[in-house]
Amino acid sequence: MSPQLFLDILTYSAMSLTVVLSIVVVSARSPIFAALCLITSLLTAAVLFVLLKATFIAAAQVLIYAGGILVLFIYILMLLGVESSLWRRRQKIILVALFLLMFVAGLLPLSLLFGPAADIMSTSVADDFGTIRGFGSLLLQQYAFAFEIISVVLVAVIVGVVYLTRKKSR
Amino acid sequence: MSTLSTWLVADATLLQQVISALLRIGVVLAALLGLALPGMVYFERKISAWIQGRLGPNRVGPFGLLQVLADGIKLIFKEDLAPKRAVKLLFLLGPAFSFLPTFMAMAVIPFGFYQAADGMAMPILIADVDIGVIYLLAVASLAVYGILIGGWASSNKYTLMGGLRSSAQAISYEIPLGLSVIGIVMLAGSAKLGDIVAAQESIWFVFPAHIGFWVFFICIFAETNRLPFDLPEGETEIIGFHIEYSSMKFATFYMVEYAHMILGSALSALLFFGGWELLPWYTWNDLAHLTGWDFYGVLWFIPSLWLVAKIALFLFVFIWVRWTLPRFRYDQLMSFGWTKLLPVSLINLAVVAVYMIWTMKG
Repeated sequence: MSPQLFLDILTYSAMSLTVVLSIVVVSARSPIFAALCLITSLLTAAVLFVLLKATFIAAAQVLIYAGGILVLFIYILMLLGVESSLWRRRQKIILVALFLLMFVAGLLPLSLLFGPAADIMSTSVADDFGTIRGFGSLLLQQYAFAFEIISVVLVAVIVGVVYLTRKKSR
Repeated sequence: MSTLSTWLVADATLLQQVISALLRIGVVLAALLGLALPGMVYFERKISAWIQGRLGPNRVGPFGLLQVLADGIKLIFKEDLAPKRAVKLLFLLGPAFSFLPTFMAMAVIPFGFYQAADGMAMPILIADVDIGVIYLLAVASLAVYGILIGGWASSNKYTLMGGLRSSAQAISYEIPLGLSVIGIVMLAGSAKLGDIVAAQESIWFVFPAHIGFWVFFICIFAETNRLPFDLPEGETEIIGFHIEYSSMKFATFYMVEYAHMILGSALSALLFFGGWELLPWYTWNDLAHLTGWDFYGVLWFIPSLWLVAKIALFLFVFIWVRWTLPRFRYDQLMSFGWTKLLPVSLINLAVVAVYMIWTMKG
């Protein structure tokens, strides 16, 4: 197996998995199942980021979205007590089977249609592209203003949340 | 058709890479599952017995060494129960979800160094990724799902509450943990664990970032669900996420706790205590000059053993604390994490920054 093909398989499987999982997220009837698929699609998107050499973004994606925000999603869903009976219907198994089938069936035609995915890989980028150093200097030099604005917005959101929760507990 | 033709062309280097990666993964997994985890269980029982003035396991095999094996066999042959109302697939996946991230995180832990062809000291590890510690934090943050899903899928309100509590604890303490690690990344100027150890040749990071070390160490206790943060096991209010699990599924949660401890101890040693460096003021290079021993060549395993000794010391502290300290109440635990540890970890960042500016001038 050549490195080219290895990369192709990796890229196309990550791509088709992301697409299929995203479809399942909006179509699944069980909220928990949808949330779990969302986590998995975030992970496959992280794989795509790694393949595009943006390793820091990939790690940040997993750390913040999959490891932080989605945990809170699942929290709410679990505390609301969404019926676990939805999961037990046979259609869920069919859904999983369908998804696996789509994944396998989608991979080969896609790679035949579009050829090697690794053209992206051979595109030359700066040495520190996607690394923490490169990302950080880009963020704090070229995009410093936007970065600071976003920080202010986030602080405003945090203050707002603290205010709202305080009011409720009184 | 280009892909089909490339399929047929065998490439030796890729195959070599894949096989070497699989071998490294196999060695680390075997060492963990075959040696480190059973060893931890044995020593936990022996040291707890010593602290409580008992004998500990001493019947099965010499010094009770085979007790772990006997317990393992017992656990495998126990009846594997699942609650009738449990969500079967997720109930099964719960232990796997907590097992996988912990072992994935081991991929970036270096266990020593060797001399590469160009004379540089290269770390021995599974994958030398640029984002090292960040990858580790990212992957370790996924372990929460095992607890959450396991607790929810049991369809029991006690496991659900236990799962929510444990995962809330884990994500709360992840923030000060990450902040204390960022201090180290600042000091080393790199997130690769190999580089971080290399940067500690002149000074161990526990000295400039000792506040960070305490924050880090406390957070590791919380992340591993060990006493004084082991609410899932609280006898007075048992609502752990794993109470519906039996047999090997329970044993998996049990093993993950020990794997987490090993990971945390390894990180403490690597990030704060110089990894495989000999002493804060005396390096392997100095010793090599003194004795003429070749630590980069034939004796490469001695620094690795030194690292293992440091990890073992931290593991001992884990066990020692467990059998010495009482348990937090849940509200104490949350307020400690958010109102004490978080500000202290921010202070640590400021201290580290000031230290860096100060040393740059000097």
